[in-house]
Amino acid sequence: MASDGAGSALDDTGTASTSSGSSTAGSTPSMTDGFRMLLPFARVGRGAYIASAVTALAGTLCQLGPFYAVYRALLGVVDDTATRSDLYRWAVIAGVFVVAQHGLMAWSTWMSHRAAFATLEQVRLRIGDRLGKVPLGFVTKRRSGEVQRTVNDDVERLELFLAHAIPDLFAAAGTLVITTAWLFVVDWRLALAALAVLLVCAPIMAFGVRLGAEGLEEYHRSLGRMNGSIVEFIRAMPVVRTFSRSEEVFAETREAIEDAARYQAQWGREFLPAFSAYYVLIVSNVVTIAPVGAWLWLTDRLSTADLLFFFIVGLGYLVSVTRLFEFTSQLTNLTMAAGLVLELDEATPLPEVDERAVLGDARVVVDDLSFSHSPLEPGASPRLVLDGVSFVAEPGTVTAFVGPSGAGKTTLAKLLCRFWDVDDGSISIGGVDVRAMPASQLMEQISFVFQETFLFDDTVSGNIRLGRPDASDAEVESAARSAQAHGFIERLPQGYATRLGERGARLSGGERQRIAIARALLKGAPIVVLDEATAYADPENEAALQDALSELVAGRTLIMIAHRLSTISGADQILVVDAVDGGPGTIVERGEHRELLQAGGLYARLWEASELTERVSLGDAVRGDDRERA
Amino acid sequence: MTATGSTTDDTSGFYRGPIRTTWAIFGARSSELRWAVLLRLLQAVFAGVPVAAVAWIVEQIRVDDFDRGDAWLAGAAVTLSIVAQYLAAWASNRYAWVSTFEVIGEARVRSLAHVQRLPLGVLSSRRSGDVSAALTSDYEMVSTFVSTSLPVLYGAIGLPIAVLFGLVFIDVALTLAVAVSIVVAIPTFLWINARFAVAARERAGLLAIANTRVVEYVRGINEARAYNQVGRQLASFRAAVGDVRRINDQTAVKLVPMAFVAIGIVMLGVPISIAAVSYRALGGPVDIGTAVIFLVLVLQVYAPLVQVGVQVENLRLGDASLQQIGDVMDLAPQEHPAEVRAEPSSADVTFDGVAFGYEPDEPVLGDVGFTASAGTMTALVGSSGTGKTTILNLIARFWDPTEGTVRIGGVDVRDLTSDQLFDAVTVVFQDVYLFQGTIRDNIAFGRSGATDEEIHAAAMAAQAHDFIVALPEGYDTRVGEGGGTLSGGERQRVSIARAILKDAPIVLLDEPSASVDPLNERAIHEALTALVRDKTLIVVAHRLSTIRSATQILVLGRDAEGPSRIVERGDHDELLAASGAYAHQWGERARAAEWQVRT
Repeated sequence: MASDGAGSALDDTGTASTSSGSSTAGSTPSMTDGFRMLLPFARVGRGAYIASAVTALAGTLCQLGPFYAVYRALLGVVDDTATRSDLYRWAVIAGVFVVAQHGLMAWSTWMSHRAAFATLEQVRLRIGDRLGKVPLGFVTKRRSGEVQRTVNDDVERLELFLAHAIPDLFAAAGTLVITTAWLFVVDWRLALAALAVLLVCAPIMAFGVRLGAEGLEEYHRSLGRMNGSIVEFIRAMPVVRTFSRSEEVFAETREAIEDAARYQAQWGREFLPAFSAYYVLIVSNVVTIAPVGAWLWLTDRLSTADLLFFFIVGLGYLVSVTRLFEFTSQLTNLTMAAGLVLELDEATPLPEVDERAVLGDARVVVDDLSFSHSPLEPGASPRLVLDGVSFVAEPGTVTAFVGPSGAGKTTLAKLLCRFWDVDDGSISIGGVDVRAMPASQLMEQISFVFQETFLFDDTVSGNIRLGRPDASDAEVESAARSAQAHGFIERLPQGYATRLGERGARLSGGERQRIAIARALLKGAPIVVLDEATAYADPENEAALQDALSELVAGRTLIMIAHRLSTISGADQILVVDAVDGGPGTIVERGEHRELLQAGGLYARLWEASELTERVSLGDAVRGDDRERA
Repeated sequence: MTATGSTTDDTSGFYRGPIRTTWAIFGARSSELRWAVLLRLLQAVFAGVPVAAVAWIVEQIRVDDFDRGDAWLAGAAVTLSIVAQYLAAWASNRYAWVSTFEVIGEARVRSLAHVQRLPLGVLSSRRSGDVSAALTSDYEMVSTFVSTSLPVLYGAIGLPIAVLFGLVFIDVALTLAVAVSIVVAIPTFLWINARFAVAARERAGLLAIANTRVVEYVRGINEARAYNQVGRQLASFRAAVGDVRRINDQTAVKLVPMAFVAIGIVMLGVPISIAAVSYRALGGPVDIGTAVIFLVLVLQVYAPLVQVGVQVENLRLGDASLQQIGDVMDLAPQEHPAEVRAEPSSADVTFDGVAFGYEPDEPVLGDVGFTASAGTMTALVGSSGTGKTTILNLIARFWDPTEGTVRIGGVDVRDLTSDQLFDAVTVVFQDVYLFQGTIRDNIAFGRSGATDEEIHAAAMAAQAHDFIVALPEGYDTRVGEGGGTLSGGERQRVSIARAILKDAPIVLLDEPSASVDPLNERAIHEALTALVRDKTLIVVAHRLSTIRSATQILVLGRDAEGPSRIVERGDHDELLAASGAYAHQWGERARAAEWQVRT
């Protein structure tokens, strides 16, 4: 997303090298990327992670205790040396080790959980910090949903891995290494025999995985198709049913479901023989231990004690290999959350100056501006959105952008607020380039009200006071009155103390906008940017919203986008923005309403279209009156 | 397929605990799941052979009677058991996997059929996300649970039971000693699981609150920056993130130790068994050979139970998913008569004493009565939240009224077949939905078997033909799902072309209010004009010219807390003359239309 970050990305070289492998675009990033990405965040809990690992190892050692106790008890019974008290002693030892093992594992798991939660906190804080610094344009409406999901869900999913990885990994690996070593110490020949099944299992599994790989891919594809089809089925249901086409669409989706089930079953059939063989053999080293052990014992090369040791301690311990396998499959979770962190790291903040500039009056000068959007898909070339745009907005005047949708008007408005930086040319306010003043100073100069407004999960007065945190209650109320909001606020259950936001009082679109205007009034910035601020207002309240806007813009430098031309017909200058033949947006006409009408260009056509729309009414069409008139 | 579906959801809801619900999903194919479990148990029994062989070898060694012949015999038994285990495992997995994959596919189709019968209102509400999740990821989780965890669970429980059953014949007292830890562990395990569920629910509740605050920061980041308030918001974000960590820490403190308690109790069977062997065999009534058998077997009895712990997580996830699916399957479907009962006599729409509420005790509309005659236009006006769109939704049966009747041509809409209803009614939605597919497909959707000429004619009437042919691939251009090919206004016109092709006598229109540029707006308006010609039009009206031209205007309003009702009715001139709510609103709107911005 970093539109102009080619140079400034260099200071983030630590992450740049990993970016090629892990992007959010669905390619599967490697595990090492995920590890490297998350390592810095694990630093805060490093002590706990290490302690957890050491404890898990100790627990694993204890796990051998009961096995050894049973072995000694059995040995005593077999060679007829055991006394009752011997066996009671071994029982107690076994008990102590069982308690110790589970206690240590619980402790290890608890520590790793604490460490994991600390890591998750670090990842989230990092995301939060960066969000406050990336270009304003980074968090688009669509992107906002993704970021929300990642911050909550993807990061949370890391916990499963981080909290269980250390104890499980060390327990499984520890069991394997320690047991194998002990077996070798006791008798290296039988130890080799005990390991022999691995030699068979490994190629079987590799073969099975390769055999199933193609089917698995096919299955994943069909699963993707099925999920897409189901989601579309549900989304399309209203349209489908009102057009009486349920049967066909149902049949399509059913086919997708059946396809997925068929491919999955087919994959299962292909993978089963190898998987079942692995599954049975990995716990069956008895098949080598028993005959080889018997032969060594019969030829007097192995003592009874050592044979019993293998029978008790050596049987089935390779099952831990399976747990190591399962563990690697969880690693993919790592990279999901890492993806966004990476992307945020790459979206370098706009260059910031610390020193406040000395500004002249609230004049906005746009000089030969051009701007390209970076495409979302990596590899595609940036698209030029605006080219050669110049104009001056004088203090106390109205400058209006009009033109077809998609010509770049909204991008232009956002550039004034420095959502991104321009590629060429400049925007200056009060004689100073917007890039040469701190972001906070720029925001003091500009208020913007766009189509939709976000209200915080806070009280009404808290939301308005965002405009000026030290405003008194009287000032908040006076701003609300000017914004035509006082009346409906008073009617809310707790008046100004009513909570808003997602779980708060429900306000209509027009009411929300008036709260936003009250907020902007309190801020009192000399420049106001409006982008279709009345678009989502309920028509019944539109007049009130307009009155509020009139209060807000009085005496300011106003730059606004409007589709309803009548509202801006009195503007001091109208700039007609058009993207000719799909090219970048440029200013194709400029002037006052009357001049532009006389010029007979795009503006005149737009004006004529809106006049015509008003003249023909649906009621006439229903009754067939319009035909007679025509 | 639907037959088995209805047997599963008729008694007392779809969800009846994870195990019973799973068996119910298998329905007629339960025998396959039974085979998977039985074969898994058989495999476990075969797995007992090597252990028995080892015990036998040890015993032969102890009595000093182990020779080459015995070794060959033991080796053969072990090898044969592995082959038998393999065959049983392969067959069991085949049932567990392949049957499950197929059965879950069938269950998905049943759920899809159920979803198709739900009221449209449910599917266009916020619940639609839950419905999608149930049919996709929740069924996937169930599939994982049934294919990998369920047989393991049954096997893990079955094997120790089988072994203990065998041991009973050798020595009852020793068997009890081996079993006691398992017997104690089971209620402990169930109790812990219940605690887990409670703690997990508490955590989910607390986390939901904290997560809302976390998300709040993301959602409001641009506002916060615009007002130089990032610091304040970030502080609140950091506090919320800290809360998430604290909630998680507290839950972990409670739960993590418990996770090891049950399995630890099971393993305490080892010392108990050693002690019991000592007590019974050394100087007791039991012979040494039996002691050997018990000592060799004891660790093997507990090993599969340790595996249960691993599968419990899947059980919990599978259980949650089954409940989600159950919630969807328990939504009441909407009934349409299968056969034609009556033909509407005209394209009149009549509301008679209609009341409606999404929740039984919160009526939205009360006592609405009106007639929209064929070939006239009825405009619904009123402030937001007065139920204008709800009236359209009731005609199209997105919902059914809680009281009163909606009639088309004198017939209750609930007595019309689905085809009859939607042959009579066209709905033009505010948010346009285009399918994956070509523009031609999307328009042709309006009438099956439409010719290219008819499609082009509809597109022309909808002011869409010109921009369509200007596209590189014309009518074959693919649109839908995130398709950036068409602008909002163009998508709207394609959807109107579809409605024009359908040519139903009643049009329900939620007049577009979101702003588009004047050229697009005019084209959409022209398209709508073509659509509604000579129809019965019922419209949620925003534009002054639309409202003024209506044959009748219904003004909706509500006083204080009550449901919304029709407060005024008449044509424009009559209502203005009445100087009531409408006259006041009209004045405000007329003023709004005249507004010009000034600094």
